[in-house]
Amino acid sequence: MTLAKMLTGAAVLSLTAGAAFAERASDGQLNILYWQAPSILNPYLSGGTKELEAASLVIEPLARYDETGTMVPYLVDEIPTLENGGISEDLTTITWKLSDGVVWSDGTPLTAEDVVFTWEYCTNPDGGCAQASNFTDVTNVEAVDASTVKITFGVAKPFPYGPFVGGQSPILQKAQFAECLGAKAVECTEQNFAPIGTGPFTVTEFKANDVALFAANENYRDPAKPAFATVLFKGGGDAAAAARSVLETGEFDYAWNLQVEPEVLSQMQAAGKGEIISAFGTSVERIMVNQTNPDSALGDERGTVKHPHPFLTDRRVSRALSLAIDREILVEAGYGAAGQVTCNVLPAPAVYASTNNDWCKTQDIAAANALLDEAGWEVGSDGVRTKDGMRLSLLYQTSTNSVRQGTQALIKQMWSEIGVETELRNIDGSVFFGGDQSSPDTFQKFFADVEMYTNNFDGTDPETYMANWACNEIPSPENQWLGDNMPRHCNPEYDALVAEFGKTSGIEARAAIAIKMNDMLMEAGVIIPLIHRGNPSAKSNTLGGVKMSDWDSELWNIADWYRID
Amino acid sequence: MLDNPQNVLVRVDGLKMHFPIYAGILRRQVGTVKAVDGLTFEIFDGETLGLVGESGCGKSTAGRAILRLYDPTEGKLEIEGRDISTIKGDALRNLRPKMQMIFQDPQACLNPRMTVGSIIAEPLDEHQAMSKEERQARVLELMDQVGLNRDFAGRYPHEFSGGQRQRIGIARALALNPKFIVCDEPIAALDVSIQAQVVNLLEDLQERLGLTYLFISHDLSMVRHLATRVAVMYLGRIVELAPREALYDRPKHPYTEALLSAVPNPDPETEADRKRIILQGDVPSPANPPKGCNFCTRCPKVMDICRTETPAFRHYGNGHHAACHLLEGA
Amino acid sequence: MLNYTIRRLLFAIPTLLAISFIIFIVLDLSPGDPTGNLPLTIPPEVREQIRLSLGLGEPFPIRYLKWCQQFFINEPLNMIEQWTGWTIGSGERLRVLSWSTRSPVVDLVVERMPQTLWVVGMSQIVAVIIAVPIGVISAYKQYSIFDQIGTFISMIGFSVPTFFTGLILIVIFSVQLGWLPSVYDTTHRVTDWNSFWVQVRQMAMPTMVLALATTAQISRFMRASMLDNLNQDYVRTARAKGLRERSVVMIHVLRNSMIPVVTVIALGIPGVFGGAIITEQIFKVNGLGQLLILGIQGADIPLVQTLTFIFAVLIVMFNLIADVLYGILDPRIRYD
Repeated sequence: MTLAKMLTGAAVLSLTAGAAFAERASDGQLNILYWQAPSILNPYLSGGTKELEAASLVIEPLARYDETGTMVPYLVDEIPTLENGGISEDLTTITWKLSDGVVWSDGTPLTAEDVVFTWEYCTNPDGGCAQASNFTDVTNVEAVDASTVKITFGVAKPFPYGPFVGGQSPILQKAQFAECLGAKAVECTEQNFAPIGTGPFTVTEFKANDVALFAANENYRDPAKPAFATVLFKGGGDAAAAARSVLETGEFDYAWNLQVEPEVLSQMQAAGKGEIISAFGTSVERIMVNQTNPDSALGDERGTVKHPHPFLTDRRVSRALSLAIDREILVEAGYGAAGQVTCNVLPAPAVYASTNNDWCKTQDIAAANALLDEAGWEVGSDGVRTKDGMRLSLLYQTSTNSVRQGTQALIKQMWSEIGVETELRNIDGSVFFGGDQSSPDTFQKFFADVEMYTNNFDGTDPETYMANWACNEIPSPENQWLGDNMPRHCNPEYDALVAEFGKTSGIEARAAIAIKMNDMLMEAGVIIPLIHRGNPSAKSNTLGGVKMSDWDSELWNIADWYRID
Repeated sequence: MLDNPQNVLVRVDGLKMHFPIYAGILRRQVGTVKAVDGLTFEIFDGETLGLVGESGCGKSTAGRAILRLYDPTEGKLEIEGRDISTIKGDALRNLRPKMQMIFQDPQACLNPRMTVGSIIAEPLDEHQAMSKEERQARVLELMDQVGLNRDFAGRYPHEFSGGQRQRIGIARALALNPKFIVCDEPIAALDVSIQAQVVNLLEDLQERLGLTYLFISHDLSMVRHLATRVAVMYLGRIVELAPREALYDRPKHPYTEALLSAVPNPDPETEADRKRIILQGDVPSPANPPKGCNFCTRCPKVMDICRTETPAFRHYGNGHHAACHLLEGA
Repeated sequence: MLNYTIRRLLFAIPTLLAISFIIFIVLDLSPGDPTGNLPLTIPPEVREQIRLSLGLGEPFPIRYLKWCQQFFINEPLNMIEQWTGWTIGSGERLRVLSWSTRSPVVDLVVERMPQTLWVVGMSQIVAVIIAVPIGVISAYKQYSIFDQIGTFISMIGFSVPTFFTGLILIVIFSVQLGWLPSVYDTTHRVTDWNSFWVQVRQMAMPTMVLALATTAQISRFMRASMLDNLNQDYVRTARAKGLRERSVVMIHVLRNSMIPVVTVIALGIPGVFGGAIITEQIFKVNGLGQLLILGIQGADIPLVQTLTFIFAVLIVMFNLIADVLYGILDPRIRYD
């Protein structure tokens, strides 16, 4: 190498200083603080998020989800689809082809047998596997050849990516766990504390519920990664202390699950050592708009579809209510970095997110007033609108929680600006969400005009979630008020889409249906989405490459993390 | 003391011992307990001066103050002509061998965690350069002197009876060859059968070693047996001081009369004639003594002057001293 | 004294067995589900399977006897094997396994012991070193300025909870000054002076927080005991002997005053092993206290059962030790 070349090399290096092009293990130690410490490094025996995420440094699934909820192939070259023949026409089998040359950290090659073994391990009836639900409907997993795995389902699966995708079902090494099947699983302490994996790090020391030490995997498939030589994964303390150790003292680079008041976090952030980042999953704080009449005078028939709501079925009214809300203020006051404005009940993954409802993002009092005027509501002498002798007055209920009560008060204020009178009510969470048949205060009975809470769905596939608003999901005395269709939305067109969703394969096609369903609900005005809620973590300013994902382990791309000097 | 040409060993002049009383949150001083309020007397070489009085009259405090276990509030103390009323620290410590004390409660005054041998040896350690063997020999000699079995040197105080413990206390007091010993009710806590033994031991030792005692007691008959002269205290002051016979036969002060009237007489004939003088009322608090004569509140012969003026402590001949307005005119 | 000790030890056996049974009953009756902390996405069938795999399907007496066998027979045998390298029997024995970590509880305890002993144990030592002189001087100069300040600090130590003092220390020394780490590194090894200094620094805050509370307690005890003894007649005797004031206080008064204080310290030692739940959380020391609280939160019954039982053994043992110490220190006490 000539001197000139070396100089240019140095120049390039300095331009991309500390970036992902650095050598493996050149960035020293990464300090991660999980204030709830992992108790084991085998996610099949725990099911807890902390164990799953700690294990994700070591063991990997066939494919992971990135921060947008898109599948990224990890141990395979491509994601099997109907188009590439990976998924059978009848939607009952999926065939994965492992990448060539992937080896375990002990140097032995990864084979299809390991994948088959992982399935056997988790479905053994005596093993008490916590992730068994990932293998629901799987009837067989077989190794077609050394690098091909075929999974067969008992029913048609339009979304067959449950097994071996995402942090919840990583591949275990058969050679290591062969003796740990069934009832023996719990006795394999050594294996459970230090699984051999294909991931960027290997376990060097594990102290349950306390600390784990990892070192870069010498046999990791990308020779330039990971950038860090070692990882200290520490547990203990509480969320506020964890935030402090990243944001104020700078002792740690990354801290997880910081459910702390936004003002406390922003105060700590002012120290300038780090920042709060959030991963946004599918949690949405929303207002449900009752389509039935909750009037207590109706007796047993109150809140049932026999008696439509006197005015909330008018979509102009609910649209006006939505337009009157300044969601930015709600985020600022109650959520900080852990929340963002949303106009969809299905805000994520990115492919499923609609952009057709963005009119709600900015508050528009004038437009809201115009809509109400148009609907025939006239402002009375006390500033409250009336129509046919009926006051535009709402009972607004939610669970008891300081952030929710703050939000309620703000919205009451905003609605008063368009002549809507609001009566606030809060109910203890254990009663509100408790599902007690005898209580009139549950969120299912919904004996109020509007109610506010958060809901989400697990994984990336919204099929069951979107089916919540089908006619047969309406809670009523007949079904003991069970059902998830709180606003009592019923539209045959929507039900048809639900049925179609269950038969459609392919992400794009499914996304198109999901967006259509979401938009239908927004147009009908039965749900007023408010805030897309995320999980906040703290990251040091010297740490680069973090792409937080709510769909997989937060640390899913830790191989790409590096130190910013 | 012209008529008593003996050597004065201890001279006490106007000794006052006041203890402050604190109260309140800030612990301000709100008053004083005048436990000893102006004592003047002398103790002659080789004699036994008995100091008697009711409980709480200040006699123990006086004994401790004379030995400088307290810092006196006022007054002058002399031993062998040397003023010791204000000396401190090592100077005081070096005087300790000369003057010792025997305490009332033989159990409490011995360190429960030390063996008898080390209790007796400790002052030797502190004040005399002795080899280990010499010290051991001296300890055993002292134990012999007070009539304790030599084999018991390794035992702890709680393993002994009350009388034996008092012997330990005496042996300890004798260890440094003192001249002057304050015996602070040394027999009050003992069984009657043991009392005589201890008193005899004290007399015996006085004879052999030429000791001078200040014998504090509320037991008038025991004092009569032991003392050459007797002082009677009431509420921090001496009301009468006289040679034994004079005091017991011809008491001058009404308080002494009352005290003596309470002592049973061994002779049944005279005992039958004994007329008891019963004092009325309680002893006033030393924190708030009455004006005038201290005894005026209970005196059967009280006069008007007693309530306003403090009687002077005067010599009425033959070493007989008293403080009473009744005697002033006589 | 030896007979007494042996008799007490023999009596301790049925006592401890009864304690272990009571702990087992209490834990069995208490609400709590080892699968309760799992994410809601795990379906009930899977939860039931997990419960069965943990042995919860068996009746109560069987589970108790199994624990007894594991704890009283298998664990000691295993320890002997580890120390001597022998193999007794087949060497295949089921040890007491924690439910949340699926690892032997005794190994977890051994793993947690160093940091707990370092931090909590050191805090006791520091506390004694500070408390005894404070107690002695406070009593000797009763009502002096020193005594008043000592009383004030003791009151703070008694009344201010450790989570508050801990937080204050972190804010001052870690956040503002940046002198001391706020997180205890349990993987740190002391190999030379440099790493020893690191260890001292990371121990400093948790130790001081705990020591403040203990100092308050011991110094008060010391003061009260000294005051008791200072007014005793034997102290006057010692002064009358013409001893130096130093000897009077240090030899006569202090030695006698130490008797009850030593007992208090001895009885506090099981607490050292119990760790300090709150302080360990604040500084992330992750010792035995944190292990216990996690076990309770996660309904990890074998872990809680075993830990509680070990504490019970320590408490019984140290009560005995305290009694024997009392007998040794105070010749007036005789056990027959």
